[in-house]
Amino acid sequence: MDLTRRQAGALSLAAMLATAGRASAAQAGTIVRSDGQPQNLDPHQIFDVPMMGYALNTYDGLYRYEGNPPEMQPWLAESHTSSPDGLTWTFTLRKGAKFHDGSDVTAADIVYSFQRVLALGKAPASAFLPILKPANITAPDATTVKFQLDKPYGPFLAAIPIVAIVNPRAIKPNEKANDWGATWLASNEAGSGAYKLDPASYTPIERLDLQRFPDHFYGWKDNPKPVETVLYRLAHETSTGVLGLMNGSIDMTDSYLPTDQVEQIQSSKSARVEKSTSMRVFVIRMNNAKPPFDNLNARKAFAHAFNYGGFITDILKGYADRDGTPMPNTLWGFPKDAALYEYDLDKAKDYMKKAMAEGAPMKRPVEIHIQSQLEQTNQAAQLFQSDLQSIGINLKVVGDTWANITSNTAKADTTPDMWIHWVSTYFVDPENWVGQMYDSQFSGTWKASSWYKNPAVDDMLGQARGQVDQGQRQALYEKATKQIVDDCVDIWVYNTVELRGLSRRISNYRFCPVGSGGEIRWMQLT
Amino acid sequence: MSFILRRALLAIPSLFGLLVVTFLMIHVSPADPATTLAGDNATAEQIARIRHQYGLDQPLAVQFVRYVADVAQLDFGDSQYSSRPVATDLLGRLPATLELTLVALILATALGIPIGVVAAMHHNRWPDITLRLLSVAGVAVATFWLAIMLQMFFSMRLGWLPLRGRLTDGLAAPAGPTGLLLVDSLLHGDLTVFTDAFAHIVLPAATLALGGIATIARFTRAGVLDTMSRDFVQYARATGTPRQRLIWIYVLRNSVLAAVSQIGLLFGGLIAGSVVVESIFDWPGIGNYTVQAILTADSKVLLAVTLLIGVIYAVVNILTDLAQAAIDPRLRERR
Amino acid sequence: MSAPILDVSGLRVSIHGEAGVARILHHIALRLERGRIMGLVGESGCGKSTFIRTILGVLAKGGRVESGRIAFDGIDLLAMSDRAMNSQIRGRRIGFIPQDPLLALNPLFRVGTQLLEIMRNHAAPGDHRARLLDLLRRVQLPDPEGALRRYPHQFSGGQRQRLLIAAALTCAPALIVADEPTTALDVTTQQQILILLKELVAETGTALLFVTHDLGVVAQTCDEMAVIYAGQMVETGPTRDVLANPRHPYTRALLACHPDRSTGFASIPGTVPPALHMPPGCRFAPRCPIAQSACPARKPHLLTVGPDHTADCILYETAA
Repeated sequence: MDLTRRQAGALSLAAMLATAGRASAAQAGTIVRSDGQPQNLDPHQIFDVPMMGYALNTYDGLYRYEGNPPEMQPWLAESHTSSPDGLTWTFTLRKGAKFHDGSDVTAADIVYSFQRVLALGKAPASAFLPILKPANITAPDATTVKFQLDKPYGPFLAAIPIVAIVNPRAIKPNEKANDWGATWLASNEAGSGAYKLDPASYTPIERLDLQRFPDHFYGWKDNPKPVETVLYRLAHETSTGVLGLMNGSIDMTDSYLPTDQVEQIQSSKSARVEKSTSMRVFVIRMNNAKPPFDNLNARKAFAHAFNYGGFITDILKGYADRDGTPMPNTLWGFPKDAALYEYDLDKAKDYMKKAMAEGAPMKRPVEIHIQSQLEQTNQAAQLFQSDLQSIGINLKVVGDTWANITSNTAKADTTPDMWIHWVSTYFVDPENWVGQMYDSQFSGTWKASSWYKNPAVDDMLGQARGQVDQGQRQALYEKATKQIVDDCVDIWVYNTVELRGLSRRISNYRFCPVGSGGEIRWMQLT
Repeated sequence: MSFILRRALLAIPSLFGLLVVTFLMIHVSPADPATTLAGDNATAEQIARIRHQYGLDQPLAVQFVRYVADVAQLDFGDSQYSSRPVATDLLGRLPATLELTLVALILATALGIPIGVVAAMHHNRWPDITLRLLSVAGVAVATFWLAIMLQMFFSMRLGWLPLRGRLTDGLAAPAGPTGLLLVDSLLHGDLTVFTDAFAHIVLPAATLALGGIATIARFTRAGVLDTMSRDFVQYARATGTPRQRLIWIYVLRNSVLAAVSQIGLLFGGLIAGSVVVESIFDWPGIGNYTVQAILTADSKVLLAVTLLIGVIYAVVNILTDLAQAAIDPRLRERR
Repeated sequence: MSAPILDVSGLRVSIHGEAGVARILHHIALRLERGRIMGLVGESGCGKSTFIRTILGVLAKGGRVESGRIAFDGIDLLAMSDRAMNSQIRGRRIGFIPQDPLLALNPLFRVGTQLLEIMRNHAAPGDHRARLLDLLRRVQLPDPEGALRRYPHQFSGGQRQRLLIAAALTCAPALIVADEPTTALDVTTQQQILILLKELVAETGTALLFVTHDLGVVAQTCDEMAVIYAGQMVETGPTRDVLANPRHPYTRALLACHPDRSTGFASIPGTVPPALHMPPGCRFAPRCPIAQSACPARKPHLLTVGPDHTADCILYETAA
């Protein structure tokens, strides 16, 4: 075959490009994950799903949740005791745990870490600020940490895994103007976790590299083929992430795959989808302070007009568990015998008539605010809109953002009529859901944006919060939840099934609702 | 030189105005950055404390004066989202966006001008009609759709080009000086990085360039048709200038004047378009950074991005003027 | 006597546009001998420019030669391909001086570039720049060296026309066609240019076809003249004869309204017919003071009315 020089040039360029195109194929020991990074890298400033996906790998806590439903495991602490009044908590540390700089994890470091959380006062501090003063965290000896609470707080133990233990010897040299090293730690890492950060790789949003820490206290005997390097390479668009998963350039997506992608991925040779029941409930909020939602029958009319089955079966392709309460159905405190509202337009009409008879303005146009970049909130609103229209209720769908809505929920009159969101696992305790969503003392936060006030419920939730005995607390939460469902405060739709795309190279994926399966240390590469 | 200086000084009041408007718009929006900052479980006290910490409880005018004073010292503050200096993050991302938009611009120009000329030479015949149909399509086609089609074909089916990103993991970007990988790798004689970066930029740049190709082709076509009817073309023909030389040298230069002013406008359009393209191809530029800032009401970032884009616009305007002056000697004297 | 440098006969040109067919030129004939200057006179819109474009083969869009012959130095120009016209005739053997020297030069290129482009395409190999400088001196352009580096808009109108005259001479053509070369200039400059042209023609021995609407210019410059009306050649002959003894009614009318030749300014009644609706036969007939009923039926052709003097009018049909 005769080639002109130009043809030969074109061919060699194509060959060069082809090499470059395939260069993204998997490297031994390395995985690429396309889910998002936390906003910054300081686990004491941020607390959300991306942070857990990062901090569970780079940091350790005293205890850690593992499994599904989650169970608390000893981690940096071997054990704890609490006083009968629930005010004094004493943790005993394991020996031999080391930070990434090689220094030992000591009780003083635990004290520093909790004090730093309280001083910064950011998201992870919420559970502790009302009950714990910095001076009341002490280290009687190198392996003992003592917490003296201001008042008994039922969820205290459940919240303990929130706090990542940081290395003050790494942070203190980088402090600026009493900032507790907040600026420095936002771009660096000072933990003892199974993986350590390569700070040079860090580009916010886009990339972040982790290296395995061979000296991690847990050891690696359980895992003969661990992941050596984790590359965070955010896929901004789901479509790109799915394509990357299928051509092998991405090994792990986020855990919110759209349900319509599942089949395509499952059929590919290189990837699969992990489906895991989570603790993340989908709620359509109603502003109980605004007519007609101040009327029980009106709320019931709305609750009976949402097509739960259609939404879960058709739109979510069945990848969700119907949950008609604010509590995840896998958590203790979930009332198994609660009477749920089912989709029944006749009942909806009956309740509507009753409400109107009581003077509720059911014909008033009602606004539902969705989070525009989360398609599912839009789908739910559209579905709701068409059913409500058939019974004569005018629902307007308003596109909005999280930042905007949560600013507006500070006051009852600026809180939307209705809005849609999820409540994820902050700590594994009913307090995280029913406690913070329906105790009227939290009204004004986005979580308690229904503006619901029932003194009996407030009382039950207060009692449950104030004691340590799980059996008694469980009874109180079940009872309170049933009452809230009876009051039809909001419309509860489902508990999430998380869908995460994974390369078939990865085995031993362990899902836990805390961290959504982002903990890498268990994964084995084949 | 004095021309550039004068134009640069003239840009300052516009940039200041831009700053005022942006500042007001951000602060009129009800989204309270403090709520976002405080996190999902924050108490009211936590939010108030954060509001105070970031000076968000000060009167708007005070906040603005403080901000302008900082900016005057080239301090753009810290992102509320990442707690990192905005300037560092933004400058780190700027070269990626510039490289993408510049390659797209070069592509749009290098393809758009010849296409426009050929269409004009075959006025109302099939090359011209094809171009007009394609340019309508080129403007109408959704960037998103096109990008995914390109990914499906070149990355998935053929496996020729990378799906996303700017450089293969494991390859080290050459150290400076421009931050543009294609330029830096050549300066360092690193062909591996050059090839890899080139392969990565092809699809996003092509996606971004498509609308621009159509625009430039359209304006070039109109320019050529207009120029062809001018007396000097008649004269050149009457004195026996060969047709190809006449068109590609003499007519073209007169025809691109309008296209050049379009290129200036187009650059702005490309920067805007790069937001979508960066998102689909996971291109680590300012587009994704800005989207994040909008979602989190990160005012320092939004202000800095606005200023940056304002400066880019001003620079592009000056460059456009210089380019036009380079093309047209009459403009050189009018300054 | 050798063959004429330009011999046009029976030329008909029309322009096919959306509105219909405009029969712009209808029966054009002329002969121009080597080294002579001929003035082609007519009102604006009579088809003078179309005639020149036809000679150069650069008709506007839709233009079509319906019939006739243009022989240049014995070569049938109408039979030549565009490529051959470009490489052998335009700018090489037929020089062209356009009407508006400002519009004719590309504003974006240096004058030197544009003039050297013509030489590059046509002139014999050699030092083009030196030859061009020499020419610019001959057209009395000040600072020829500097001129090459300047742009068209940096020259005065007269200077620009000198440049274009030089351009027409670059390849020592056998014929120069000049389309109203002095119309855009003020009177003084006009005179200088005319004198220059005449000198150069005499010097180089080239023939010149000089298109103008100005009879005074013709009288001053041309050896011969041809009068054109609405696309028809109405009279040709030695300038002196035609001016002294115009034979065609149109020529007479034209002379009568020329301010230099009569005491008052008379104008010809009526207007030139629109190109899309030309009258049949003699196109001047509708405005002619002595028109006869047969005029619209008359097939145009030039009749000899004196030595080298022809006119196309029914008056002389019988006389012949």
